[in-house]
Amino acid sequence: MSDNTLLTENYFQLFKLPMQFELDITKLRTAYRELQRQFHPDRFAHASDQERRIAMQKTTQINEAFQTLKQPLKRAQYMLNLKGMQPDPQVTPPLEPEFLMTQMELREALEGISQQADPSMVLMGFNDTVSQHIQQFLQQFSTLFQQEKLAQAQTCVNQLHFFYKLQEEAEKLEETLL
Amino acid sequence: MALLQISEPGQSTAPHEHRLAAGIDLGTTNSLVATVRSGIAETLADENGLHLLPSVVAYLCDEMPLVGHEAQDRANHDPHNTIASAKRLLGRGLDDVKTLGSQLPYDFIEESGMPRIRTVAGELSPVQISADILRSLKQRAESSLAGDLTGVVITVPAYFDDAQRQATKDAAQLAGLNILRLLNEPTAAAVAYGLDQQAEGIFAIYDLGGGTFDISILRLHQGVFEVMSTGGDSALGGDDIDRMIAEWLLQQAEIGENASPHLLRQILGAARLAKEQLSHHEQADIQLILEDEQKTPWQIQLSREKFDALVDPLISKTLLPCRRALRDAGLNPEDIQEVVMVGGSTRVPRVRERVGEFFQHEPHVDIDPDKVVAIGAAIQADILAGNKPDNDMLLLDVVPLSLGIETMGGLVEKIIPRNTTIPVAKAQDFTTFKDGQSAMAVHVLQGERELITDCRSLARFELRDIPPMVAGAARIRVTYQVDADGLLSVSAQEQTTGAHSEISVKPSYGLSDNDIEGMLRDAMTSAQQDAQARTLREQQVEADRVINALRAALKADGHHLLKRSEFENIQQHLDSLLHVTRGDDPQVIKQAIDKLDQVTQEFAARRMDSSIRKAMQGHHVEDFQNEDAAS
Ligand SMILES: Nc1ncnc2c1ncn2[C@@H]1O[C@H](COP(=O)(O)OP(=O)(O)OP(=O)(O)O)[C@@H](O)[C@H]1O
Ligand SMILES: [Mg+2]
Repeated sequence: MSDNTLLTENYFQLFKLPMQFELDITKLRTAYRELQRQFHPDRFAHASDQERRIAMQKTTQINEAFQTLKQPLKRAQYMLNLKGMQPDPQVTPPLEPEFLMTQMELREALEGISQQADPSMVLMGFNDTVSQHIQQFLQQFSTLFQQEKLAQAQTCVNQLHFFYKLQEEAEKLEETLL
Repeated sequence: MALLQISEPGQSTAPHEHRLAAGIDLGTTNSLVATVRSGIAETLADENGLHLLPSVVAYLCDEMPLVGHEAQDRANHDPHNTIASAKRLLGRGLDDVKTLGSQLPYDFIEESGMPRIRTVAGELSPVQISADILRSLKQRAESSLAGDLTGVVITVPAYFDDAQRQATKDAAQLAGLNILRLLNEPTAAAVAYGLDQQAEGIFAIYDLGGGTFDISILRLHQGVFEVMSTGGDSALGGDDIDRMIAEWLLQQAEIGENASPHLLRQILGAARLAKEQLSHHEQADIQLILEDEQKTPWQIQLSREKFDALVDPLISKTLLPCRRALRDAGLNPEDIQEVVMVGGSTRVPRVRERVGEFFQHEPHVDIDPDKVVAIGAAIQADILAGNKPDNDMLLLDVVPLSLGIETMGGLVEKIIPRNTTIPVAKAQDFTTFKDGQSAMAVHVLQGERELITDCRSLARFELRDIPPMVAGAARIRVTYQVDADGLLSVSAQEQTTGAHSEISVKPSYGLSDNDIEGMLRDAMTSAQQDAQARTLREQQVEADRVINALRAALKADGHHLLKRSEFENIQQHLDSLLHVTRGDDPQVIKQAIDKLDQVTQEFAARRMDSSIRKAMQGHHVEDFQNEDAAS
């Protein structure tokens, strides 16, 4: 069957949202819920197995679309993909030394946290710093994308991955501190 | 029904007979069954008017096992053959059981595979014991509803992993129940609570029962229950509080390591009693008969203060998952509108106090914490049985634990992260690392940790016959799919040649399909003829359904969505189904239905696509009712 065919041309259209990076999460959520309400397999309780199976496939796609648009990093990469960009590490230009320095400093800071007197407090501060970086890069992405500077926008997304990774590691550290 | 519903999912076209459906809360300590009657969901009582069925089974020589209160009464004098809290062993391996088992007074058989308990009725698995409890609830429901159940929704702790879910499903199958859905306990509670209170907004369900702890954070909006995150501990509950008190008693009474199973049972019973008293009193008096010949019982008092100190570490253990769940949902405690307390152990005042502190909210304790889960399950069962075609309720649940795959060096790479909404499918590509490599092993794991040894191993399989290529040239796509029950299936395929290997993940610890079939055969030989007649009727009814729906669909959309040849092909298969339906072989009818299903697959998919497009054209996002934004 038309298993992986998209319901619409892209995820933005599926949720009737303009294709732009800044998105109204409430509208996204409302549209998502409305689609689920119509196509979730549970709404086909006394339909045939076949229809339930198809409803399941559609719901799976709707879920995937929602997850992609909801998370800024995934959304950014998705928008680039729609423009034909791929996050291929061999093609993208190497990271700037300045960026690498920031990364190294943050990493060192993170590793040192558990030795601090009040690690939880220090960790909170660290998380704030990382969040600020993330916000700044997301902003930058949005501008670059609007200006159709796609290669630079892709670099920006590549860099964002580092910050999200740091955030993840900070979460793991938090678990050990609890 | 069927295809017609696509344009209007809510509406059934044929008058529909009410189907008997039930919700079952298969608890560690207590189990319940509930159903919706004349629009009201209620739990069903036994012949003595009792709603809670203690999850205890007593096995006897050459007699049917006793379940519930009668079994509980035997626990003290026949501890080896009276099994309580079997749910804690469900879907677990021998290693888990050894840690738990040292605390349980049973005679475990330590061989590879699934743990079994030695009783006078033979060696029994936790799946079989759970099936005995389910069978008893089934009988209760069928006698009080005066009819056969068409299907049930069974609840499981949200934090149950794939093996535990599969084991629950196996138990239901063994009890002869048709499972409509495995539903997460906190989600079921949210349904009962949410519908009752007409709640809207973001809620936390804190469920501390006899053996498991769950926390779920949900967003309720106009009948849609969206789980944002969940967390928990599938081996933490009232049983552990009892054990804490029991250990304290052992210390106080200076009883050594080798207490007899009888004495342990007695002490655990006394501990539980004291705990429950302390929910209403400042102090509990405990009496123990330490030795058989002893006349005067040994006595001690347990104060609320001492008790609080004993349980505090356990309560702290529940707050960790709460914090994680909040973080995963991207929320702070103050974003939570209400904390709903579920499960018998939330009656402990200290639990309420500390949960209140954590969420900065007085928790909601007005609903009956024992019954909400079963009631929520009954409501969902009623809908899934097709009795509520116009109902707007929809549950969107998540995967509780990340699902991953073993990669080089014994590491786990996550494919589906925890708290992803189900159903979900994710694919990842791998490649070969040696020239001419012809097989690839796939090891499926569940858990949050990085090393495979720290995660639960769910399944291993091998993709074979990969054609010889240089290292790195093959593209092996591994797909993980989690259905609406939260159950995983995994498949792998070499993309360039299509070598295909597919498995449906089964727990390494559960019964194999053959085991289940064998047990079912034993139980069913006598009832076979009835079954034959019933199957025929069922297939005929199903065929009618399919035929009517397809006709309606062809009439509505056949002309603009099908080519002439496609239309004719479908018509031909429709005719042949009509023909065989008049015969008396259920197997032949089933085959014809399946065949028709196959040839109409594409048509159904096109209808669904076209109706989604219509639906989205009909609305603008702005038209949808707005809601509070807190994400
Ligand atoms: N008044 C009370 N005070 C303290 N604990 C209580 C009280 N009443 C019941 N409990 C405890 O609640 C637990 C049973 O709760 P419940 O029936 O919700 O669990 P369950 O559904 O069987 O278990 P689970 O959901 O973990 O599988 C038992 O440990 C019991 O001792
Ligand atoms: Mg429970």
